Amino acid sequence: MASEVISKALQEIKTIVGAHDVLSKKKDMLTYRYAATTSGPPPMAVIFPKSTEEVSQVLKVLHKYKVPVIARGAGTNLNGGTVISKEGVVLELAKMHRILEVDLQNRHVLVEAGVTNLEVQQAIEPHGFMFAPDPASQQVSTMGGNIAENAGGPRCVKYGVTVNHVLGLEVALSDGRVLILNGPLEGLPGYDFTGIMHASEGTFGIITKAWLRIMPKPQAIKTMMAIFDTLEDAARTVSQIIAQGIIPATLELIDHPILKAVEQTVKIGYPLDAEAVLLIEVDGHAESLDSQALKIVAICKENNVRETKVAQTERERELLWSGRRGAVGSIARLKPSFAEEDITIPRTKLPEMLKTIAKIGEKYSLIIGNVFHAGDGNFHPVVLYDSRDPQESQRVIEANFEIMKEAAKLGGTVSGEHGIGMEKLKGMPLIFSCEDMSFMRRLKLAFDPQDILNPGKVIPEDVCKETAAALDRVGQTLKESADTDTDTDRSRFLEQLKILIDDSRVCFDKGIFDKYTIGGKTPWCCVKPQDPAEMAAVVKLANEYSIALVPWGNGTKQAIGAPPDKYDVVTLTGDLDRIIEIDVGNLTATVEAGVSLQKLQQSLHEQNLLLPIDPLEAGNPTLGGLVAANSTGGLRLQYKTLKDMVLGFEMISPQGELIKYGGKNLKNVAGYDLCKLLVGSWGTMGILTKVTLKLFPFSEKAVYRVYGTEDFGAFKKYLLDIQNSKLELSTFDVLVKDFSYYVNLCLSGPKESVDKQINLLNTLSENKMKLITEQDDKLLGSGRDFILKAFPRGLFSPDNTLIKSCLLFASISDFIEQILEHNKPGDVTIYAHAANGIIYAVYHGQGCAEVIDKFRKIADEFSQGNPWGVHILGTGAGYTGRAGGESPPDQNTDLLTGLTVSIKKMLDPNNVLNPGRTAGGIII
Amino acid sequence: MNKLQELYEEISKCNKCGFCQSVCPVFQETRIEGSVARGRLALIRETVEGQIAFDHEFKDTLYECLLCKNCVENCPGGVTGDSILLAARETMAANHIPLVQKLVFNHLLKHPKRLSLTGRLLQIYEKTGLRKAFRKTGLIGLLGPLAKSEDFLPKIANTFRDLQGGLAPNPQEANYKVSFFLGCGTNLLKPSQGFAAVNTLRKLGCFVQIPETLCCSLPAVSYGHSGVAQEMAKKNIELLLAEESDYIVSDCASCSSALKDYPKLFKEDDAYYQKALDVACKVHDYAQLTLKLSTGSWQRPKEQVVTYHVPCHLARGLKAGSEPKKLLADIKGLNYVELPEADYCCGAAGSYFITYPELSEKVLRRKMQNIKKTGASLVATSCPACVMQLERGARMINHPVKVMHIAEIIEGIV
Repeated sequence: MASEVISKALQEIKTIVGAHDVLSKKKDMLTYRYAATTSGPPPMAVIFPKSTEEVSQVLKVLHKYKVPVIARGAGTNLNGGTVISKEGVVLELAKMHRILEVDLQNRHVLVEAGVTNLEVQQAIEPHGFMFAPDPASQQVSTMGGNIAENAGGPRCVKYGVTVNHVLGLEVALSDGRVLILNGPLEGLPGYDFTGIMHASEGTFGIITKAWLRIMPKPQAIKTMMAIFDTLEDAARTVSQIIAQGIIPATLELIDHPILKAVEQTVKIGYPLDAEAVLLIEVDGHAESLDSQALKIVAICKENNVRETKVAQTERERELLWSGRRGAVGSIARLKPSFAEEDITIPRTKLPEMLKTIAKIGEKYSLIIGNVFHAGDGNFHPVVLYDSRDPQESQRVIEANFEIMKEAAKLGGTVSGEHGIGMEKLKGMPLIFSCEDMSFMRRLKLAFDPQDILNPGKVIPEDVCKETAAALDRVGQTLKESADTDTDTDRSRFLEQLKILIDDSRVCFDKGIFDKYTIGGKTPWCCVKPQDPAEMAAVVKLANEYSIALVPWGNGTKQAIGAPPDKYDVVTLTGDLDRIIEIDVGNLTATVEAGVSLQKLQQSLHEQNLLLPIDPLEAGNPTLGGLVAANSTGGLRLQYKTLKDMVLGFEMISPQGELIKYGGKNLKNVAGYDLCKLLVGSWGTMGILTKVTLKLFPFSEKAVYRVYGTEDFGAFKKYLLDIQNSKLELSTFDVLVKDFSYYVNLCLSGPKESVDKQINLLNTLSENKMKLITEQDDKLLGSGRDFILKAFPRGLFSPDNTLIKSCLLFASISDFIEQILEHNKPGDVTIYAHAANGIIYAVYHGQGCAEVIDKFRKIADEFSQGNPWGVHILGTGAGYTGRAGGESPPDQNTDLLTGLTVSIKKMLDPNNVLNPGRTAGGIII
Repeated sequence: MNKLQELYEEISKCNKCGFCQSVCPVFQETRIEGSVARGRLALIRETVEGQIAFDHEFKDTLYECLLCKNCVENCPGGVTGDSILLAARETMAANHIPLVQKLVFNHLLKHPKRLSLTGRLLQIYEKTGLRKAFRKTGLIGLLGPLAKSEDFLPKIANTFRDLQGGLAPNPQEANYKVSFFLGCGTNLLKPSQGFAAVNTLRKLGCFVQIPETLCCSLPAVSYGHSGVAQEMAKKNIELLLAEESDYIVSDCASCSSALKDYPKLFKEDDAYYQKALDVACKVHDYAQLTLKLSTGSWQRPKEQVVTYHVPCHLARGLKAGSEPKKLLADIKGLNYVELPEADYCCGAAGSYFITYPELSEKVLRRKMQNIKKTGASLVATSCPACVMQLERGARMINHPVKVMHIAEIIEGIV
């Protein structure tokens, strides 16, 4: 890059941020060439924006001059995510560190990107709340960085990683345009840009603000240490704890080399002849912890534990933890350098992986210690060496590669929580094919066509030669490509289709096409591939002739949202109906897309496991459909959505390639998180063939209670009381029907904890709400029963005019009040996931268009200015207006629409898959 | 460069985890990598490896640090960033014009208000041996006439030494023999707190002597003049050991901490090394000794909310930050409230508040906000520089909080 160009750009940038906030002296640059453990060439400049507006203006300049740019927070990443790979400038966000909003009632905080994780915790801790992700670097690492790397931490076993706790983002794109993604709202339609930004390492956009979901802190914690004579016993204990359905808050393993190092510096009382120590923590209601601890101790004993110690005081707990926290620091004292690997494997493979690592250590004559998040299979082998010894350094590189290779062989991933950056690029081909990586690369170019955001990271550049070709396609419009099909194309498609698959799997019978009609459109051909290979062949062919395919499972949700623009062939997944594996030890299931929810749940229930979703549609949806629509019901309050449960998948890309992503690993930050893109993408990105899901054990006790009243005031107050009570609810749903108000609550968990909360619930409800039903239901199916009783044909029946709104919790009751004021009793039924702020209104009356307009006006007041916050899902009465009504869409909506279109165009240039349909069914 | 090369191993131990960022008062304000230990060490390493010249551009890198040691305390790798920095300052002082020029020209002469302190500072400058260190620069020649100019100088009140005849008498029967180390700050700027310290110790049964010691040598160490520091330390060691007391006590945490660090000034085979160790063993902070002498039933007539600012040298130098808090908490009638970030630097840091006034003020602002949060009407601490800085802070944010040395509180009770 010519230095005149840079100095020109910097001149302009100085007028934006001020000369004081642009550094470019050689000496200053040397302090921005490294992050933890990795370094690269010095940047050409470091720019300190102090607001989103400045970020935006700076990016506009950099974009104009095509200057590569890296966003940086505290520079604590471990694989070079914020280190320059070739050349570029650093956009340092450390001066954007304000906590802008702490909203306890709606349970979110809004922070600028430069706020540290610990500062978030400190802001909410006094109020009894926590932000679940807790990476070891939390005292310095910033939220922007935590999100960009999708950071984990010890608490992940129970609570999940960063992406599971981020509601929305403000993001500046490479050309400086600023997008609001979701804001504080849940359940919005559209591709999950918020999700996909996680672990994208600053290559998609620059995160400037984040809305974080906070949760009540557990009331009590019990910490224990178990000492083992063999590593294998310790590893087996971990696997068995998980397999028995006990989910501790943390489950960490520390092996002998690390124990020794820690004991030298911290003096915790680790026996030096022990081979491994497990640090186990359970949290929740104090009453429930003893029994959980007893169960864990019993498992330890079965596995020949030498000794177990339970921390009796906060001081003792602190001491046990100080060993874990100080582990890497202590070991760093033994040798001048260390390399910390980061792989994740399925949890049943723990003993095997530990043995393999030991062997690799021997082979390369290296000391390798292990201190890691055993509970989610996330290993951190620490290799000690002296970087000044070139031979030893080379052996470290080889050993680390071998560790990645062995992990991949066991079905693992090459990075669990640190990211790919540049250091792990060489591991990517171990788990991804060329097609997988090209798919990801194209996704990146849809966000950043000039490839100036953190270039050279995440995806190895040399695997993807088609960058230029992909870029050419950006100019095309969707309509152009969709309309290219002609009768000749059709006949050629059919001709070749008959060669590819058996006649019995293709159908032209007009009689059955009615069954597959969507919004008045009917296909002219129906295909039912017998396996993924056949599916791939069909899609490839369709892509060649621009034939529009609509994937179809059981058709339970096809009535939702706008119909496809073009509809040629219905592609049935019904024959992909194998349950491939239920891995009880790892708590995962792998199934084909055509497997129905009922079939899967039945098999899971036999193993005391379940997939905690209770979708709102009637019938028996397939997993493919559920995943495509991210269909979840009231259980989302505790378990979140399928986005958080899909660990891996296989799909057929619009080009007919088999794309694989993820697997049975609980944590995975290798490559872009395609799960977040695919789940909820409504069949527009690929046809799902196989999916791996995270499972949950039955709770010891689960109770559903429905309360009712006819007094709106009492109902309104009750909603607040419940939300403020800090009850740990699995479901908090609301039904308003015929001017009666119902609340459906689910409490699940250890028996003692549920019993305690029921007492609290009794006190809260006494004399205020009438208890209507109560049901013990470990299978967690009563939520769906409740919905289907109120809406016998499901919420998504084609007869319904259905409007979905996404609001803050605090707006729910006022919103309901307004709707009821403007409508006749009996004309509208309301269903809401109250704590998540998701509310559905079903109209039964006439004059639908008018009703919707009126409704929209009410909703506008509540939806945080987000036009997608209110949208029409069902158009039973024939209303086909825009989601946002007649008002012109705002700039943010335009940007979201634009990005949605460019991603679709990049990944499906011939507009083959479900053309015109959108994620969440909005009309864009 | 030799000293830095010797420390190369230590410098290389920094694995760049960046944890120092969260505890560095300067970084918290500047948010620039060059002003936190990780950045400083990286740069020093680059100079040792010959990537960049160790020139005058390094001045801020070296002197912008408060030497509060918070990074050292919080370093998972145990890297002693402060000693590396001092070695670098030493190297810098040997090769370049000292910083005192910048101090005087840029920060004092341009700001008439600050001149009110100049007279005293000049005395400190003389006392601390910095004059000797900087003699070559001819700076004193410049300042001399200025200092004598009656137009400029404030009325100089009496020093501790001038007034010490008025101290309470030593007890008839003593339980301990104590050498009181009189620091320059106490002597010249805050004699009253020295009086409080000596008087209370005497009242509590200590036989207190006040030897004619020199400056503790901390300023010389901080500005990279270990030779001068050594000379002063030797004289002090002789004076202090000659008294054969049980304890060596100072009201100034910085002085105590400097005395405790005397062994670091000498090689182990130096005859003074053992003597320095003997001194170090006897060093106690005022509150440490007072806590030992306390009856635990002290009472104060007036109810008051009090909080305590822990000086850096007390918290991390002497590692005696908890004793004064306990001392205060035990006093009936005082409602002791813990100060958030109690041991976080106040920004005084010797002459830092003159060399980096803006940064010092920002650091102070954070301290004052925390003090405000406690709702205390009285804030105690254990160092004359901290006392003056906090008094300045109270005026700065216009917050009615009284600042006292802890000895002055005890004085009102015993």
